[in-house]
Amino acid sequence: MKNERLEHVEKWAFHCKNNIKECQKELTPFINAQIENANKFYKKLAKTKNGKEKIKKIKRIK
Amino acid sequence: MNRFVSDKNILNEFIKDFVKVIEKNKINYIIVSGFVAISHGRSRGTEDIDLIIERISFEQFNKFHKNITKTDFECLQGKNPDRLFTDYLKENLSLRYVRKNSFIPEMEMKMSKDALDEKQLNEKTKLKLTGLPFYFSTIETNIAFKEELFKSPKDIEDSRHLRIIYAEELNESKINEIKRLIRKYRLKD
Repeated sequence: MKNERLEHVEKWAFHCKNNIKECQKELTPFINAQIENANKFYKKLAKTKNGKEKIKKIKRIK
Repeated sequence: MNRFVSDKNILNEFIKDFVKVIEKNKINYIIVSGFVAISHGRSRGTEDIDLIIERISFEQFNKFHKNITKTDFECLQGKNPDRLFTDYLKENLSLRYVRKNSFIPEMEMKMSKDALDEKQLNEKTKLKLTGLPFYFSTIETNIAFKEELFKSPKDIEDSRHLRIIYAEELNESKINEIKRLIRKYRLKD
């Protein structure tokens, strides 16, 4: 049985295939929100005790 | 409120600004992997953009690094171009650039490391459906890497997405040839 997640991916891909510009436009707020929220979080974390060290660990920076 | 950014795709703007400096320094490049699927409407998050550049000398890198850090970018691994080149690029490891005072997205930039990367660079292409002016590795190459080398659920989903978008145009024998080269160069041990 094909997994449900892959079925959803395929359904969305067929939607994109027929409406590529529309899909790209629909995705923009999603992409922007993900990046903006992550950056807000990292900035808050950086201000906490050992926050900068934690970020280095999360991002595997030596 | 920054309306300029919120109306535009942050990833596209990030790549546009980075690639502008790459091109100004006359460095051959391709964007590969996750962003290829995302730029075709694949609905998933990402923290990094993967970029392969041709093999360059320290002098070329030094000039590029100076230019990129004069703009809005900084390298997460440090400021010393000598160390960045020797410890990372020359060792086939990625350098990670972000916008100053920002944590994501990251541009993961590495140099071509074998004949397979050279082939990808030689076959670089602009992909009309993305509506973007950047150079990408071919769709067949991206599918082959995702199915033969990376293989995570996310990669399999990316590959499925691209296979549906390009169903009528895909060259299966090209995909199989790249998979053969992946086995030869990347899975030889």
